[in-house]
Amino acid sequence: MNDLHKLGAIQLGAAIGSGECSASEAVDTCLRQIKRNNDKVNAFVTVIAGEARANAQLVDAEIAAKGSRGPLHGVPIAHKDLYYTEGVRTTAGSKVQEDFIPEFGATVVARLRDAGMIMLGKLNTHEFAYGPTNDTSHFGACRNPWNFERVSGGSSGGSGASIGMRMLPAATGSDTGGSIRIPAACCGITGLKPTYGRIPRDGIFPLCWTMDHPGPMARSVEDIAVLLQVMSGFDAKDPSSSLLPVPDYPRLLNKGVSGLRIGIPNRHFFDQSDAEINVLVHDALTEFEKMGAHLIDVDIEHIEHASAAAMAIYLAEATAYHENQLGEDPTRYSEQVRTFLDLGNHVLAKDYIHAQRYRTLLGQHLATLLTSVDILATPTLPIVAPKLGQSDVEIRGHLEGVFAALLRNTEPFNLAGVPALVVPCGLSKLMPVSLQLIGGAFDESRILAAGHAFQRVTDWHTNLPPYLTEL
Amino acid sequence: MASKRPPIRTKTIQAVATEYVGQPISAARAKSYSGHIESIWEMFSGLRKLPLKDVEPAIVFRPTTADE
Repeated sequence: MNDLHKLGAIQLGAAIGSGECSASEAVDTCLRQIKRNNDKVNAFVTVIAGEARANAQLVDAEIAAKGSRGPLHGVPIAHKDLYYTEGVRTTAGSKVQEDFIPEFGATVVARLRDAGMIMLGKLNTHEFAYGPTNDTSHFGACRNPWNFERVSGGSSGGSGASIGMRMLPAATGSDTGGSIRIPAACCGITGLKPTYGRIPRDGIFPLCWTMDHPGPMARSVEDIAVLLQVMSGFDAKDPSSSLLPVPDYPRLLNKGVSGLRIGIPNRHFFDQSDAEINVLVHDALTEFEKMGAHLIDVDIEHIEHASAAAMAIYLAEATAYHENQLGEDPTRYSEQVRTFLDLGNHVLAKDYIHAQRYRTLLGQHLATLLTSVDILATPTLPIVAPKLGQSDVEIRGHLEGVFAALLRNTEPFNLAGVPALVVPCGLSKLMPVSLQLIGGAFDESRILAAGHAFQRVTDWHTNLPPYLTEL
Repeated sequence: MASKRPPIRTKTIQAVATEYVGQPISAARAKSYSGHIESIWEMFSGLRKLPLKDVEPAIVFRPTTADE
């Protein structure tokens, strides 16, 4: 079977389960794609070809004897290099951890393996996930599949670039201020930051304990729903893990959007985004209206303070986590990450507490707002992926830092801990543009159904980067 | 009425890093940080003015049981 790399995760799983192709063929196809294309984007930092091929043979034997375990059995995956993987180097994109080989794997890695997925390797990340561009990594910058002179976005840049470049159908990411959604938006793929506590954090290097959200990245919402199903659920090793039962996400995908009330924030998101991006996101919202949804103007009180609160929490928690290693040898950190860690030494305890109080305030307001509307919608990013090394960006005549711009629309929902799904919705300057859908806590199924409905009437998520279409 | 805070000084940054945190930094590095710290503290001043009376921080203490 040709072109296996063009299939999404559940399409590939179905082909393997039905005997149309083998897991070995799927793994070989992905390994060929990695060999052919990884040097263009620098997404993979470790490839375990031999182990993956051996595991694929075991999967093929198991399927031949007993049938498929489920929709992901035999499907290749790779993990952000923040996730511990037993016996496989885990660096967090940093020289500090360059020789670290964990003796155990993250809970999520084990769950995906138990579902039959085959790990191909580890993916580039912004050093310790402390930045939204992925141009700071011990392994070098991760580049964008749509334009190799631009960033992949981060911190889960390798995850975004590997899927965008069709080296993989699915990957894991983690999101502290937007680190799943930003690279997904930059690379033209689909990503979900679930509710805080939905997917366990055990075995993943922390950036900020109270803001870190592991989650899936893939090409379609359908794939995301199946991955989320496997990754979710209580884990006693994660003190923030939720005891709430896990719904059947794939079964709830086809609810449609007729009558859905979509709240459109009247400030902070659209008015501070690039004008062309605004038009494309509004066009996407028109598609929802055509399907019977209602667009309702809303205001999110105190939203303008989200960046300050997020900054206080990043700085305080990350510096606390890294204090010992930073003191031992600060030169092993990159200049950018070391600067952030040093700055964390100057955050007052009361400001950290105020930031955590702000989270309560924002969470209460969003919970109230989400009784008058069902979901919220915003542009995922106010800009397209910036150029490598670019530090400032002009939006509507206003110059601001790239980091601040990339994080502005995503980090409020890390503070509130509510789920946010991002889907491609257009192209601006030949680069992907993305729509963000936000739901109430533990209401992933509603935003997944909305995203799926959108992808059934549009084909932005199937677009290939120019380099791949020219091959 | 609270008096206006004077701008943060390089020596203060160095003193905090050395004496409180135990991670000394050079004068040049401290100088480069002073601008960042000023703008960060300016952002934080907005948080201090929010209506946070009776609002508890999002972190809630949970006693650990013997089987954890």
